[in-house]
Amino acid sequence: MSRPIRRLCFLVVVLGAGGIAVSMSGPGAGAGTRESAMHQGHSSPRAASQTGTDKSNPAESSVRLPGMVGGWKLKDQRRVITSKTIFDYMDGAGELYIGYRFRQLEVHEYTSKGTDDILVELYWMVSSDDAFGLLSGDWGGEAISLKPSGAAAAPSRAGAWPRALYGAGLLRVWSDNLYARVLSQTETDASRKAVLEIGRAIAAGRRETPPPRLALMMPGRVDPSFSLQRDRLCFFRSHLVLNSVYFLSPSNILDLGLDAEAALASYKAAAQGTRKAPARLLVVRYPNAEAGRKALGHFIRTYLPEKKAKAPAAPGGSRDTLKIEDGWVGYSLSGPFLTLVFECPTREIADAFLNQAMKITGGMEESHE
Amino acid sequence: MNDEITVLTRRDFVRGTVAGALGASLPAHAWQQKRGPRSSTVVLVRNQKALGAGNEVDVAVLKRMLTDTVTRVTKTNSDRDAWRSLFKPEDIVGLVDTPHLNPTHKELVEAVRAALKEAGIPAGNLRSAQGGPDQAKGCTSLIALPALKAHWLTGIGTVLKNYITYSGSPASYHDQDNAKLGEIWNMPHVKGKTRLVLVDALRPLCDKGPQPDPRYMWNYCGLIAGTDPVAVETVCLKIIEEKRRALRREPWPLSPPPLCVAAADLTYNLGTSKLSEITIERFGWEQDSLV
Repeated sequence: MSRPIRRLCFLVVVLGAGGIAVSMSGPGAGAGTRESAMHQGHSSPRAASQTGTDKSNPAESSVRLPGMVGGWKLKDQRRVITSKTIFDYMDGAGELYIGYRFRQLEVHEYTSKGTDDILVELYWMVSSDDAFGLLSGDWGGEAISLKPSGAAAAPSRAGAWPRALYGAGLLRVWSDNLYARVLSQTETDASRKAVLEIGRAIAAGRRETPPPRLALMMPGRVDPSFSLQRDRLCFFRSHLVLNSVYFLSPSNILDLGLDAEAALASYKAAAQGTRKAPARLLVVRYPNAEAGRKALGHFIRTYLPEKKAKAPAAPGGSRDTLKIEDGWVGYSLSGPFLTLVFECPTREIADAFLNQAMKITGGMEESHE
Repeated sequence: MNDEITVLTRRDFVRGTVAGALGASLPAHAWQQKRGPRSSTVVLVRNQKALGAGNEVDVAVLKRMLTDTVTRVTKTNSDRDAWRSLFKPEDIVGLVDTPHLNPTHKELVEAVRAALKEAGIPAGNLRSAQGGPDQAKGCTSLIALPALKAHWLTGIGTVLKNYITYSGSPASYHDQDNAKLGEIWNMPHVKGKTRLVLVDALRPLCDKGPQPDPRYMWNYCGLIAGTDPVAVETVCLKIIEEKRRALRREPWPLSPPPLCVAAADLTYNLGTSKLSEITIERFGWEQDSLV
């Protein structure tokens, strides 16, 4: 993490069969946590890998993984991966996680004779928003409730996004500040059952935090014929993640970074065919108004150079719409919030997106969220 | 700000000016030159029995596929002739597989190793050559042996990216610099050494790579090979793109776009990225070949 985040800690004490597990979020939390308490069915402390990377904050070890699930047995060894070692573990994929506020990754494996292992990756993030962001990169798969059997998920606006998704052997979980991947490379009925059981153990006793405010505030309908494609909404902080869902430029032309937060959503018109590209609404909240102003300037100079030519002294021009190659693009800046809209069929629709987004960001600004 | 003058954006793709923008955004190289029409051949061999119900490799089937592949690439009639047309017994041959995150099937690496030995290349001259620049420096010839996968940072992470560690500074080819991946193939310790590009397309990954996600993996049961790395990558790219379209039943372009492929052609002159200049020789299972 390039910029340490200072936050208030919260403490959850969980009493369980294996002893006491303490879960804390925040730097320096969790002193005195006993790792031996973390595994049900394991009476001895886990043997952490001796690679020199196991400097986990004990607070991150609050998940109780079952010692046995189906025919799979949890290996005693686990690996702890930090932002410094993540590229050794997953060269070419680490950028995704450090593109959010990543703390550390804990890797566990379940083995079973004659069948594929089950890999458990626990990505501990600074906040629930970061973990949500990781799940939001792909809403595909079967929504799974990880509540104990019989407990139904309470319907709510926040509940519109699932907390766990399963597909073809891979379960992805957003649980407070934890993002988890539980993977069986070859799916069978037994492996599915085991993967879901591990998922339930991961989520057990953890808070169900709301999605990021910015994601919740994205309008459901605009113009009014354009409706939000909920399964195409992504929350992120990094331009690399932005590019993986909507490519703008290989360069960071919006000055995104860990101190920013952004939501990108797709909107389709009711009568729009599948071949027509949806409109995209992107809202970025920068740490302050000055950062937003600079980012808009960077965006205009690189993405809309004709605008610069027409209005060289334009940083004060905080709102505009232009016709470019793939439709109407618009931007508006309000305090730390920069709103961008892409691929709109008309200027009026681009304006409608900006108006609606500005109402929302204005409200967030007034409430000092 | 210089980067703002030359920066490539989405608009270049929409306008069809990527080539110009790439030329402006990447450093000029001595090997850039005007070219006439080119042609490359890429061999695609498939066998639906290559993978079993649990995705385990049928080694006998794979060996036959390998023979079919190399004899077609080299236009020879036997396994031995094929390998011997590519390598001499005194060559130090580096096998450059992808070691993790959707790795090259070890059965394929072993089949190549065994075939080389049978063709008279001494076992001591065969090396696992994935790693830093010294690995490439220690070899007189290389076989690129990547597995086919989409990559969330580069669009595709197969042939060109397979040599990233030969640069000595992989991080220099991440982020916006991934378009420069072709540069590595022209480094003195790498240039001209690759005699064969052989892609493991047994079970590719068409999204979210390099981390495995079985939702986007499927049993294609193929080997894709040639001597032009860009042409092979271009065929791989086409397969990935078509699979994505088939999955979503609507256009689902790779994001970010695979800039490194066009740049390898236009800037680094490593081969052709135009499908119209590539002849695909197909052999075996035809269903859902996607290309």
